[in-house]
Amino acid sequence: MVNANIDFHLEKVPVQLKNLTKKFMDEGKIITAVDNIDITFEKGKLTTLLGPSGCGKTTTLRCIGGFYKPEEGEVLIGSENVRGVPPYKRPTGTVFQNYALFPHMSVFENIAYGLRVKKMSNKEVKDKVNKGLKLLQLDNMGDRLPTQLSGGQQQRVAIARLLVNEPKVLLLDEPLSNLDAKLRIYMREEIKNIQRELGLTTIYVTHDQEEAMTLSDQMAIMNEGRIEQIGTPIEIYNKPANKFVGDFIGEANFLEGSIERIVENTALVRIDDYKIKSEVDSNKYAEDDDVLIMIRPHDVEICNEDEADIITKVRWAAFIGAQVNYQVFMPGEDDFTVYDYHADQIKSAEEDINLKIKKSLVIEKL
Amino acid sequence: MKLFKKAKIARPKLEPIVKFIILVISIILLYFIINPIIQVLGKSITDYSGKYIGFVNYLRFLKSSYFRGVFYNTMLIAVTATFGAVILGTIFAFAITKSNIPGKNFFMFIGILPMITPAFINAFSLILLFGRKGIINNILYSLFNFRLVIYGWHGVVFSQIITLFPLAYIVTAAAFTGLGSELENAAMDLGANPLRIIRTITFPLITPAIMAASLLIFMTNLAAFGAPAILGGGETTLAVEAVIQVLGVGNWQMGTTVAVILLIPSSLVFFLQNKFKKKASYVTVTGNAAHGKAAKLPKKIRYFLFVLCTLVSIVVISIYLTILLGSFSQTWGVDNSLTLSHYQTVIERSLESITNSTILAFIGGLGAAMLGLLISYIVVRQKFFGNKLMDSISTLPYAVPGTMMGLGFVIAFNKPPLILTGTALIIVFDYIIRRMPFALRTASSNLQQLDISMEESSADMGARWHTTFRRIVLPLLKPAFFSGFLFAFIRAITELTSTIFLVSPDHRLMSVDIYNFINYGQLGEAAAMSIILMIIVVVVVVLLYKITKMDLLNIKL
Repeated sequence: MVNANIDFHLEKVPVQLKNLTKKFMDEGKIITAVDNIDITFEKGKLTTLLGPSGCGKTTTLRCIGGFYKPEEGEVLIGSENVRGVPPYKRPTGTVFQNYALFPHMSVFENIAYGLRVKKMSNKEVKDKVNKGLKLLQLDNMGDRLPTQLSGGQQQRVAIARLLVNEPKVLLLDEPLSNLDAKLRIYMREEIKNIQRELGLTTIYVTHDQEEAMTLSDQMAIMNEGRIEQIGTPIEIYNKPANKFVGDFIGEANFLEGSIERIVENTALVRIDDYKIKSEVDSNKYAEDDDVLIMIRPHDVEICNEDEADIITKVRWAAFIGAQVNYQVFMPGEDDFTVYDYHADQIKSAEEDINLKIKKSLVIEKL
Repeated sequence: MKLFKKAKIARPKLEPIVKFIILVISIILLYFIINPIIQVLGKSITDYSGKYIGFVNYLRFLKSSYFRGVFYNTMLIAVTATFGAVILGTIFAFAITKSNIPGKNFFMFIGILPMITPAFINAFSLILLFGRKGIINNILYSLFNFRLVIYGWHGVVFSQIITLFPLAYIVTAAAFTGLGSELENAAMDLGANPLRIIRTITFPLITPAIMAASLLIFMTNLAAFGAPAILGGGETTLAVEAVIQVLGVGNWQMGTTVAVILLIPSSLVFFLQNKFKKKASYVTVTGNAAHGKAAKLPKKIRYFLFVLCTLVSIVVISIYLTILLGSFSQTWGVDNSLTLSHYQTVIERSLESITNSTILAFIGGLGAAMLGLLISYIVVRQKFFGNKLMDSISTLPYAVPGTMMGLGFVIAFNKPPLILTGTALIIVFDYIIRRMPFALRTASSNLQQLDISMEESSADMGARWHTTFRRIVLPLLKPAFFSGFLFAFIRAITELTSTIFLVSPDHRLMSVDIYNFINYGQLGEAAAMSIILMIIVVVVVVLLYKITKMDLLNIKL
């Protein structure tokens, strides 16, 4: 997607947020949209801010871009503290949700906009815009109006428009949310390729976990204005820091129990009559703690009665092609999902089912 | 491709009741819109005995330097006042929607106030301030032995700007708001400072709205009667001249000719406006529009905006204050002691006008809102032959100057089959027909945003056309209906241009009475009547707002 032979002078710098807090007034009440967050966005890496709507991810991005002024805390781009610096003087480039292409200007003029602001000579503007067009494979599209482009082309114009200004940080605010499913996957790959190729520090806001998992070098899960966990997609999926993260990323079952014994990093957790071996951080938990454990549906296997950790009945079953989804009865918990990938036949409701828990994690103290 | 062009489009069968409604509307449109216009055209090509004489009247108009002067004066006033009103209204809208000056809510109120008052009251107030006995002139004379002359085209322009800048404000404010801030944020992100953003993004994008406002205001200026009649001094405009020819001299032939000539630039602008609307407007509502605000403007600009808004507010407020004072002072400019006698006189002599105006405007407003809504539903949702034509004819009164419509009504309904001259009904019909296009446009734009699947679902569940209309469409279009009604009511009760031909000794109206009071120099009575008129309008606006709790200013102009 990217023509790597054309280079812009792109500097790679980290971005740091220190104790960042942003509040809003809403109908007379103060709402803390971003609550004292600390995070480092590594240089040259793509970090996603992921969370449900209203979690403060877009607000955080806008504080970095300079569109919001935080009440407290600092934003450092490289070594520069950008407190009080207006958006038009920050070395950031934002791709907006609807791309925000100027409808009354041609593609060429859209890309040239930032250069004309800098009062570059016509020749320089032309050179750079053509370079930008080429880089994003938009050759011969310069004369078109944004409305005459496909969604994918619009996105590339939006990115080209930023790159010609040689920003130090790329900010993307849910750029794929308005596209249909197929185009979304295609554009996602495109963004990934462009970012990898250019190696630009990139911060990407989304509420779509699949998007975040496939794109990210690093993910920050946000909830109610705070960062719940920072890590690589694999770290976050396998070792969620709490129930919120475990629930938000991927499918998960949660069971309440108490720790009987801890041996190294394994705990024996009693849940009613069952005893389940569960991975545990022995520094944080002790015997007799009441805890919540997380079990992913694909970490459960249907087995013979003598191997079983849990013996119960099927609530209902659904065949969805690659697997059979079972809902089974569990003590104290309404939903417990099991994926069976090797089904020759489907069990029906009220039938006995024996489950072996291959992997589980102690996730929270109760 | 050609194959498809020839193919006929199958239309669904219309229900009998729809056919009947289409028939009734067609008759109404033909009889009350087309008919009066043709009558005026007809009168202009005959002599006083009714004999056909061709274009003799028009030649006389063109040959006479007096009439050419009237034409020139009309254009001069319309062009200057339009420029002034649009520039002022746009800056006003910018200040309120895009800047962070203090007192925005107050300025918003000031921007809407002149909309709900009769156009000619502004002109009248200017007489109280700058007339021969005007207070400001009195002060100037005592200090510097010198008076300002408000009479003349400049006075008319000043008055029209005050009257019409709110229109430009409302249209462009909607565009500024609809623009959202995403594009401006993007420009800022690319390094543009606030001034550059205004120049390269904001204003180019709202140009379509500015153009639309300009054309609308230009049409209104062309047709204006009140201000040029009161402030014109010796010079008249086409609209005033038509009234003078008919009511003053009794020359119907020349009066109608002047009215037809006024129709030419007016319909030209109307044509332009429709053409312009078809071009895609740039204004798009974006999902994230609520996020963020335009950056703080430089201090100098904010000062400028604040000072300008304050000056406009002072002018608007002093206009109302002047009329209020005028209504209580014994003899304006001579004996300023307070008195209630003007109100007494007005109520003794013109109580009937007050009740007449209120009731007739109320009925007219209701009729306009209902007819507009019905036509809009037929035109937007029913596919039938002549659908587009019905829409065009329905919006025609928008372009036809009030003078022409009023003349047309008098001529058309002075003879069988329907003799209405001298009745209250002719006034109501005039209100309905002339205000219906606004209700129609408002309802149509609301209807186009409604998903048709709701109506289809209603039909799917067995509802006939009239049930769907009553149970689904009417409730959903309630906001459009009330906005349409309120706008029609205000415009009707403050209307002077066409009703001046339609009033009779038995059926007098407040606006015409005020105009007559001014002409006879009874400024106190005129002021008292104006205050009563404004109170009625405000009471209706407030009541309707309290009852419906809706945004009633949502009018498609």
